[in-house]
Amino acid sequence: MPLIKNFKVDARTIIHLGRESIKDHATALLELVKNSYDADASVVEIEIYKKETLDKIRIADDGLGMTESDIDDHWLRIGFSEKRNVKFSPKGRRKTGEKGIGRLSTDRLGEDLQIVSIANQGNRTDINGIRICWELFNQDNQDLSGVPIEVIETPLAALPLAKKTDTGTELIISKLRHNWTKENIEALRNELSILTPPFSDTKDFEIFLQNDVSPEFNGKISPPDFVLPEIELIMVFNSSSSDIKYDIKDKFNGDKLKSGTIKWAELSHKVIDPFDLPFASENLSCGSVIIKLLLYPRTKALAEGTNFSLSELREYVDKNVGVKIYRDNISVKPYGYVGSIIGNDWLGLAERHSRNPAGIDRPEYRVVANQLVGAVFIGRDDNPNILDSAAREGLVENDAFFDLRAITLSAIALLENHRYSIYQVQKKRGANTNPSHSETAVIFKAEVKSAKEDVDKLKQLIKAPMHLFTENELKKTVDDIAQFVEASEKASFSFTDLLNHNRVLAGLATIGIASAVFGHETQGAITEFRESAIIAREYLSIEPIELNIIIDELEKSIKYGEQVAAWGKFALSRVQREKRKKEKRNIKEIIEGILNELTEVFKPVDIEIKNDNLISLEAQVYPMDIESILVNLLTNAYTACLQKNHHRVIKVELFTGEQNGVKGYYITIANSGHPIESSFKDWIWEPLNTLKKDSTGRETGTGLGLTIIKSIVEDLNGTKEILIDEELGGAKFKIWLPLT
Amino acid sequence: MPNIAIVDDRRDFRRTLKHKIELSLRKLNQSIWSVIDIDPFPIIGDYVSWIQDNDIAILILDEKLQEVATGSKVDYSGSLLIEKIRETLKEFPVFAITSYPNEPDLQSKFPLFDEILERDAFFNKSDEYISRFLRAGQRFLITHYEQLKRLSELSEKIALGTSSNEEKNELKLLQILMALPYSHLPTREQWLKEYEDKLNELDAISLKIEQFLAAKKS
Repeated sequence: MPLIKNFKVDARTIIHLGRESIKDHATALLELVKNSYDADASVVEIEIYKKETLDKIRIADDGLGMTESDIDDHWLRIGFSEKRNVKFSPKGRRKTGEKGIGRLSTDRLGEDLQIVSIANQGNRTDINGIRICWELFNQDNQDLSGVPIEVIETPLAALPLAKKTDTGTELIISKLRHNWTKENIEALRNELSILTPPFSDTKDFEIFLQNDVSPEFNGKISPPDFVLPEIELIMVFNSSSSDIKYDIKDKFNGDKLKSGTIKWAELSHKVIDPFDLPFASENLSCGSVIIKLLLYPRTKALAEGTNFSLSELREYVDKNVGVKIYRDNISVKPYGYVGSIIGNDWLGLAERHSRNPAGIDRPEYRVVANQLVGAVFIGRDDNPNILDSAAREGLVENDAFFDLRAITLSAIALLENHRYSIYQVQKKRGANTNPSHSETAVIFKAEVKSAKEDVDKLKQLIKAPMHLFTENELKKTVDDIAQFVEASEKASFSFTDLLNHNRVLAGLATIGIASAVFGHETQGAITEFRESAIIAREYLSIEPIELNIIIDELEKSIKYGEQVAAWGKFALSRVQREKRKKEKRNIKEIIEGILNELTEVFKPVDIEIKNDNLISLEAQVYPMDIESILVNLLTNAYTACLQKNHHRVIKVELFTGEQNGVKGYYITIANSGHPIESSFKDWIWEPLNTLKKDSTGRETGTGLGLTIIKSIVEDLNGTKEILIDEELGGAKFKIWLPLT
Repeated sequence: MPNIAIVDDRRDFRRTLKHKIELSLRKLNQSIWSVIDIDPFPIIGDYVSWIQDNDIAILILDEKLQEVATGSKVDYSGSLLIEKIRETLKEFPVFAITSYPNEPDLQSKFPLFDEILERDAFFNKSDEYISRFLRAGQRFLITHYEQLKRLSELSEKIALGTSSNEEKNELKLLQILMALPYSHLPTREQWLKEYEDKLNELDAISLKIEQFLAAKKS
């Protein structure tokens, strides 16, 4: 019988496998949370206490727990992984690790570990606990099996408060090896938030974080909220068929989907790979895959229709950007992780764009890497050729991986093509590429916020003595000031533009209201103008010629022609650009101009205009505002006058007057119709309230005219009231506006 | 001589319409017809007698009859006027010619008009429309004439006491058709009985009033 020798395992081996092979302490903690996931936990509590008297990390879950034999035969057996043989948890979760070293992450986090687990053992629950001092493994000439593991005689476990079962595991790690900082906690929270994909419902796995380093991150970890992308693409490749199906929808076309089915042999031509890595041109070896891509252009349109500010949404995109690979719904690092130096841009998106930086108006448009959020879903069973690398992070770069990469790039090419297409459609429709006013409002808000942040930064810098400024800090200060000024100017322009936009809308609405009221008159005048001319011509062509009729008709034709022309001139001149500028104008001239233009409309219904009491005064005004007030009041007065069929009069007055020490002027418009009852004097100014009714009591007014006046008067810091005109007996509207 | 009457408070408008209709009548050689145009009457109830007294066979209305400050107290529209006219003249041809044929007030009375026309549409095909108006007017005149003649015959027979029961029923139907007030009691006895019943009812009411007042006093 030959002599046999055996390996002896140095106790330090465990330190190499654990402490030294795990990248950082956040990754180590994440490994332990993944173990909870594999153990079918519904809830995981993570506590990190580094300040004051506490110095520990606690991870508790309500998973299946471990029996004594589980601890002895599995947990304490290095390299053992039940996940190799039992790939699915009882809940059907695909288990995430295979190498059996995840538990050694605890060594990365702290010197001492206490683990207590409650598991079902037949008809009873079994509670077991052990203590490990990892530093005992850090000894020379110490055999691994010789390091004692303490068994806790009366173990007690505190399972999560929100536990859904009575089993579970609690790990307490003390004598922490690292000084957790705010950045570490934030990074951990972010990593936890995207532990499960943002694309699917993961509410069955809740994580609660509690720490005393940065308590603002305490609470339930939630996946990033869904925000409407500009384009959403879903591609499905089932390895049993060579067909690749895809659906694309975009925010411009709502739920209208563009769907298609394509063979890889055709789609493979769409792959644009800056690194020219090899891939199969016909039969993909990667296995079935689902690819979801969301495009978030970092423009103000991103915030449209959401409750988020533009800066918040940019932050969200920043946090989630990247095309990640999810294996059985758990992300595989470092693919798509922006913080990773290697593997982050595994698709070479930045390189693609930099080689061809064409905009969306060009067919060769390439997506910008920081606009794309994506997920490539694979599974251990569906994708057996995609293998974990031995380095614990990442996948083996074999043919299957390159094929997976190629099909993902083809999906990106489809998305790019769609974005180019919708841009072309919008261009053809003559879509306005200038920002809409809602976009402008979003920019305005974001820029003000940005400007405020700049001011705060400047304040901090100003507090420091001048000699402490480095050249870079000074340069940054100057840049910040320039940025602040630019932001303020843009905000100012945006605001002015918005006001002008409202001004034009009010002007257009006023024309609309006036058209509705005077429409009957105008329509009648148009018919009369044309028909009188035709009749005159027809009478000229028959014998005997009846000259009286011909003259009568021609005179009417001229009269109504003038009336139609006057109305056209009136409507067209209401929203002229120069009326939207604030300037010094003679108010009397504005009023007389409006009255002259409306005379031809009032005359046929025998309305007399009295405007003897107009004083000449100048004020700094937007002419369109004054005209909108006048036209709406005159339109109301016109309708009111028709309530009576005798002595129809509208009286317009202009005079100066002060209010609260402010110099201003009054415009009053009174009519001979019925007065407005006092109970309606507030109600009538509100939108859609109207007193105009037909003979059947049906409301015929728009209820908008007085609301427009109210809005303008309030914007100009003026006042308004409704009185009864003693002379005419009807309503009298009295508007006061400041001179400047 | 039958007349076509136009009712509109806008003199200019109605005169243009009058001239247009007269032109069409000349083209259609319908010199028997005349066109008259009037301001709306202050009292809505005056139209029926005016129609009957002035041989009006066709009436044309505008919807808005109070646009001009005439000083009169017109407080009704074309759609209210047609309702009033139809209370009495069920078959009389009435047309609306207006700039706003789709006004809800007017459309709600659509079944009462022979036709509601947009002013533009009428002017574009005035000859065709006038032909249609005239046919309606002629039908009315003929029917009205024959009904009046028969009414006269039957009335005479009843007065002479020579009418049969069938003729009495025919008179009743004719009165309904022509919207005339009629007596539905064929015999004097029946009339007297009903009269007596009514007096008795009034007597009973009078008694109740007396009792009520007496109770109030005490």
